[in-house]
Amino acid sequence: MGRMRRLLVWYYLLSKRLMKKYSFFLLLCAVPILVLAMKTVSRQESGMLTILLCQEDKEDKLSSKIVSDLVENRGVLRYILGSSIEEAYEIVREGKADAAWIFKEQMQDRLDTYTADNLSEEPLISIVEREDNVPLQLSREKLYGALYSYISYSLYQNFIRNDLMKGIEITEEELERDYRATDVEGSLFRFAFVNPTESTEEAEELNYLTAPLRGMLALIVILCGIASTMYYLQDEEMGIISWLPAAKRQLFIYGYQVTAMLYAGTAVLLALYFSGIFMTWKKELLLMGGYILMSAGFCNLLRRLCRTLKRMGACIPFLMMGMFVLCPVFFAIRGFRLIQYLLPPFYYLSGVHNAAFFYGMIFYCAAAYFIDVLLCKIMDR
Amino acid sequence: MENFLIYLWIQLKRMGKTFPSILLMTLLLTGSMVLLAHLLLETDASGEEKQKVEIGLVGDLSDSYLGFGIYAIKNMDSSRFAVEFQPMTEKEAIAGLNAGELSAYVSIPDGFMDSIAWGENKQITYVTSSGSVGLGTIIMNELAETISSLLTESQNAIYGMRKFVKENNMQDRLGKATDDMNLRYINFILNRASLYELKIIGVSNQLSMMGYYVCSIILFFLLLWGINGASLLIRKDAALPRLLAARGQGAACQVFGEYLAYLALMLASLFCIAVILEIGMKMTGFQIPEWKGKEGAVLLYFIIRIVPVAAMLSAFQLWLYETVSGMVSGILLQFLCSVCLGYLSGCFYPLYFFPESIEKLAGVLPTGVALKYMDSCLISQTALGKLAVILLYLTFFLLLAVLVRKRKIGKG
Repeated sequence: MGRMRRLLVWYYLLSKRLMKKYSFFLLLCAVPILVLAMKTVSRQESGMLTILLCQEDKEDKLSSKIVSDLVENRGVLRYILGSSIEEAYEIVREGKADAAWIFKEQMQDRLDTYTADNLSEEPLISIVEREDNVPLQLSREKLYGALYSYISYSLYQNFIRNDLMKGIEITEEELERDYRATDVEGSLFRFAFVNPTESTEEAEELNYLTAPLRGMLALIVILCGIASTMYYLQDEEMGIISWLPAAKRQLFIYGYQVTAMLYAGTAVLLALYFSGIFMTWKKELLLMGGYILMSAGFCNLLRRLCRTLKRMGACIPFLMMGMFVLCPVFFAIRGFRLIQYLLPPFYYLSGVHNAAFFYGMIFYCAAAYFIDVLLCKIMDR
Repeated sequence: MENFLIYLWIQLKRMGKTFPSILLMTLLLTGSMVLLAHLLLETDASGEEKQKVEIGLVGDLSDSYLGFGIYAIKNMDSSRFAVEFQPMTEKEAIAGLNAGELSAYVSIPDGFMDSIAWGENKQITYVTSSGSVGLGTIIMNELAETISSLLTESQNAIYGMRKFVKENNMQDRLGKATDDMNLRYINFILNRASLYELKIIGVSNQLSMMGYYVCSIILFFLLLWGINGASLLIRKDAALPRLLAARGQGAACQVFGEYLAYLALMLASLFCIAVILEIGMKMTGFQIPEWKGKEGAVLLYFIIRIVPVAAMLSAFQLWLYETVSGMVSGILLQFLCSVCLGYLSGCFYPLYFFPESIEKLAGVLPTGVALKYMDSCLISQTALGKLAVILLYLTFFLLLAVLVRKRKIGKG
């Protein structure tokens, strides 16, 4: 009981010390502001690419239908409507749109010729781009997807009229009735994670603007850990903790780091809860707890490597940049696996849907603390 | 004036002493920036030079139709430049995912082709292990919708044709008709590029995607570099400034002297890195569309043109450090501001990813204006308006720094 009480007193003193530093407080306040801002932004109209849709003939029924289908289907592409071909070229040239899809006149006739003539050289759509790249290539697959129901029906119609029943009169109603008779629907794919019990709701409803949220929040937690380690170094330089016995200083450092990251971790969990990408409390608490312990080990080893406040401060830019790039914050990269294994956020973010990384966290903690104890004994000699 | 020059010389000597260690840190930061640039530019590349996304294929692949489909995708479809499918066991696929060798794997259930033939479509499981589901998953969601639509519409057509054949008592032709129709659909899907004519009008006087990334990475580099200034610019107390003020060296002289020395340090580091990168570019043959056909040290010339941006950011960083008294606070504040401003100005996601409100906000932020100015410099456009705004911000930040310094001196 006495030990517990002492622990709580120390926790209170460390918390008081941290909360007095307004920069740390600012960092904690940044968490809900960041989440709120990203949620607000994600609800507004946006897109990874802006595509201008233009019709050569605005009265054309098929192109109007296709344009309407595209505009109604809210995805990662943002569509704007253009009034003329010249305007379309100008807008793309000025960079206000990434591409212009110009639907030619008499679309239905062109489509029927295209499917009847076995890939005629008369294209149905003009696509205008400044440069070709992977996102624009993917956007053309979306265009094909939007057109495909019409292409499929036209192909089917042509096959029956021109190949199967050549010279025999068939009504449109007959054709359509048989085409719609089976009406296969549904998605061909279902998403899953390596752990089959994981829910994929999150993956299916994700917005690209809030996708990096968990990663950015994870970096804030470790930044708090690095900041608390720097505060410790500052206190050490000022002689504030010289009264502490050397044997207890190690525990004091961990206490410093864990206290700071507990506050940051709590703020992050609450932010995740309100952001809509929260899993279950049990899983989130386990992951965050493991992450905090890992980060404390990492920060402590960093402290031993850098030794001074200035060196540690100088490491922050390329350390945080490295974590941005190598950990799956914005995108998951292949390669540099050995370096990724050294970074705590990599385990936290990978462990969200893959339990193997949670066990990796435990191993990392054990290794980090073992190395720290070893270094402590070597330096004491 | 003489006092100011002496103070400036002292500051230059002080900052000059730290130049070797700061250059080392700058080199390390540059290394991580080059890595980021390499990943971004590789992701954006089209055609054969792009690093392919590796996807494992697991499950019952014995069906001949499925085998043909996989062969067609691997060798004939345009997606072969972007995606590589590799048949493997589920154990190998999970190991590959965990090791980061695979982006995902697809598991084809037993009897998949039979289910397709009967219109009962069993689902293919797309398994990912992305740490945090991100852009790749979102794009895959979109493509999955398209692929599903292709299959279900094709099935409607083929079943419709079969129903039609049965209704018209042409069962003897059913087998051949089904095969012909299947092949026709496959042919159309594989040659879907003939549906449209693609006109590339060129970037002309607009920025290419690679050019955009180069500018945003350099801007973020300049923002993060500012963390080096913490040990040089943060003061624990105002004793020395008060003493200097008492000797006739006012707040403005002090701030301006420190600013010029800090700016010299930043520019010296920047030019050293630029020389190294220029040599690297010449050796590797790396080029962006904006530099194609241009002779000479194109990167160095670009760095010279963006000196006003470096000057403004130096003033911003100086003011931030002037407002804090502890090194840790300074570093955290600098880092937070760098990340927030970088994100809102389009350093992580291109600005057009964001809604219009954010694009408008970026237009008034100092880093947003700086990025637009850098874009203009890269495509050799005049940007006097943006330059004027940058110089205005520079003056504003210096004034703020002077005011804070005056307040600190006056407090004693």
